[in-house]
Amino acid sequence: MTLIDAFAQLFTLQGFAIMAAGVALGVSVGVLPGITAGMLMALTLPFTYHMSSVNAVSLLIAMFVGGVSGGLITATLMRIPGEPNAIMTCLDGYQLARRGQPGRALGLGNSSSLIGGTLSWAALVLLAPPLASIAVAFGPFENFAVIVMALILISSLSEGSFLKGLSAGLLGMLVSYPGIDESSGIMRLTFGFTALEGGFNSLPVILGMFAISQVVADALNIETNASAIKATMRGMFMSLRDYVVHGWNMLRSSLIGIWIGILPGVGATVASIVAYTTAKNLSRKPEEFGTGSEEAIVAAESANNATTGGTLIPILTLGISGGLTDSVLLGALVIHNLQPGPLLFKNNPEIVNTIFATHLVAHLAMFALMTFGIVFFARLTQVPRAFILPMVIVFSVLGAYGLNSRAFDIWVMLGFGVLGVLLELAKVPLAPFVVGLVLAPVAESELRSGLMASAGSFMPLVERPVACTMLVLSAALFIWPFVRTWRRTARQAINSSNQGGPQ
Amino acid sequence: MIRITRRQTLMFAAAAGATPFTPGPAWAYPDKPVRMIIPIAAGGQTDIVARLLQQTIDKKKLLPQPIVAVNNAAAGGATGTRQVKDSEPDGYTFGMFHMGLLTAPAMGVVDYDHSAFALIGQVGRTQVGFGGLADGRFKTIQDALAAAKAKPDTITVAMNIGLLPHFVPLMFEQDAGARFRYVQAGGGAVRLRSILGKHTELSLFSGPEFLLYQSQGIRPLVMFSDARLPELPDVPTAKEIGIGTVFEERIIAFAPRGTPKARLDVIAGALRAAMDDPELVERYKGLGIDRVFLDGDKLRGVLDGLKGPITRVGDTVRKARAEQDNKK
Repeated sequence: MTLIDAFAQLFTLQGFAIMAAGVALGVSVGVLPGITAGMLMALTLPFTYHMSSVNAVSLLIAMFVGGVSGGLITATLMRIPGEPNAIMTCLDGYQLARRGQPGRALGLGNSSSLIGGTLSWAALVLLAPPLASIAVAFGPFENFAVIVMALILISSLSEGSFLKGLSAGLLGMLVSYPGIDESSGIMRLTFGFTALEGGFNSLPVILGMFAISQVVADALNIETNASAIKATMRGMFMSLRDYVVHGWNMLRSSLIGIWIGILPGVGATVASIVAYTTAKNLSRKPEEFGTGSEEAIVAAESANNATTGGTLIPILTLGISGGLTDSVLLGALVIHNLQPGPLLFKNNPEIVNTIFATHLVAHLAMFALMTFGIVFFARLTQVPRAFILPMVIVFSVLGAYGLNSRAFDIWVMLGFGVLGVLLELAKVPLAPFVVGLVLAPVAESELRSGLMASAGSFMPLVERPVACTMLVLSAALFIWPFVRTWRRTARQAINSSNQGGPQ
Repeated sequence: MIRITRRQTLMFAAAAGATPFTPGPAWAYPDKPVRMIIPIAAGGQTDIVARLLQQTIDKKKLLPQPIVAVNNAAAGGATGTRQVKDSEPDGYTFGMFHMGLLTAPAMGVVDYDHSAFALIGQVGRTQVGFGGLADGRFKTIQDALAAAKAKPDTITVAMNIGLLPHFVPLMFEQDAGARFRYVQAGGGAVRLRSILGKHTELSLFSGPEFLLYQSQGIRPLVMFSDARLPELPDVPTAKEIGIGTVFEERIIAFAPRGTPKARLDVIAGALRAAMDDPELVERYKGLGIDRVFLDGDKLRGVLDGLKGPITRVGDTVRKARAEQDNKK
């Protein structure tokens, strides 16, 4: 089965129905806060055991693509991330929507998702083997250096209230510590509570901080919010000029997304944060970020969709998985007696081609569905929030519980909901918190693995060229915002001293 | 004394969901869905086997009620096994896990082992072995051992801490009188990546994993099985080179202690019947898992026998950790 046949298969009645159902389900759980695409896929996996392998793979990939995309709708219209990877879209998408341009905000997000996904598809189809071999050459020290770079990049998020941002980041790191220490296999910071052995999973924490706290905030001023977003759906499609204006940003953010997707255990949430901050650092209008910047939405949404193609690269070429969604996909291949890895391309080209074809067509279907969805969901904002907020809570509780079927995670979510409200009141930014929460464990385990291999020596960080370059770059990135501020003040000083004189 | 009338019995039975008109005992077990807790994430080998068994039991109606599978992967399986342990021993909750049931207590992660459970049986088994990069510097296991003996603590082993990829190499090195350097990696795919990227030199893989990874440049060096694997006829066993390490990964069904024997037998019977289903026979073959059933008593005997060696290894790990902490 060639790639053309695989596309043809997708346009048969059965093939299309399965793919479309997958995208629709994916987008729906994406929109619903709490329920993630990973959960949907894990629930679906057993049902695929009795399907043909082509259909099974097609269904799961379609869910994967739909799920990454749907989150932006809830994020834009309600400032609640439908999926954790939409937290950056909450910041600017919601602000832009509140300024009376929900159509524009959603349209930008939707188009960027499509572009990010398509670019990552191109990378997947054209560059999978070389990219995978580069990724394998990345060892613990390289991975650690990449994470450090991401952390430094992201620290510029908190420009303005540096101390508050830093505190939020450190708090996030602290929250990631309790539970089993994956590098030594012992429990830490559990204080003897067996419930803490599983630690604070990032999903209930993020749900609490972003969804529950938003529900509380909305509930406190329920009247004023009832029809907060009441404006035109104009601007739902990006014009050609938009693509030119945002083209470089889309490309850059997509490349970031693809690469972060390839890295193990990092994922779409971090990709969107890194792309967002990169866009902010390189922007001519960084002060607009957080107040409804179009660039911000474009960056976050192209990056998180671009991780889909990136994630598939190591799965297909090496049979390597990182997060839950990857493991489910890998499990689906294994159960159908398909061997992920280089031989998959030779022995089961129909599967590889199905994955390729579905990944692209699912993005197109997602774009179409989301366009309809946006019109529908935008009406929901006219529904009084008193009806919507309880539903948000119900789905968040379901999601938190569904993760590991333990009630403890629900309490974690509610507790962090309270913390989220308090932090918002204290004007502490929440994004650095998430970064600390998600990246600290990865950075820690990579560094400690590296140190186990080097018998405690830090020298490989200097000796290994890639790791060393990354760290030097990180240092430069760290200094850059200060240099920029200094240059700006210097220029202002020159300008003001020149005032009155001949220009 | 309270006298229960026939009428009341019937009402009870009706309330419990059993229709009084069905033949057989009114208190038939199970009369409501049975929960199966899987303490690992969806998609792993144990999860796949557990869910295949569950689906076959449901499809073939091997139990009158469905089995509901629930994953609880938190804390490397500790919260899942604890959930089983603390459940009502009424036959409506059981778990499906692997040898982590024995290694977790040896690591000090939990304070209970297999003896805290009523064992239902073993529903599958895989052989494990040691391997490295095919074009790496070790062509045979003797090469690797010689290097590890010549320069102790320099040959790196990618492991998954607290589980078999950590414990089996430790047993092997104790049996062989060598010392490796252990590097935390993770599951099979992550260890594969570590070896392929030349970040570590050796790792434990299962027989089916070797078959999968051979095409990617992984060479199996030694198997810890009783005899050579038919699929890997050129790979010697540890016994053949004079080292006694024999160890297998087992998929274990277990229930809360105190679950009535009759109910354990019902679940065991259903699992066993499912394992004999022709479609599942094929699936096991495809996954490379030996379809070897052991009943609860036999399995307990096997696990009791392994308890000593595993605890010894765990003690070594803990002693090394304590020494390191003292140095700080």
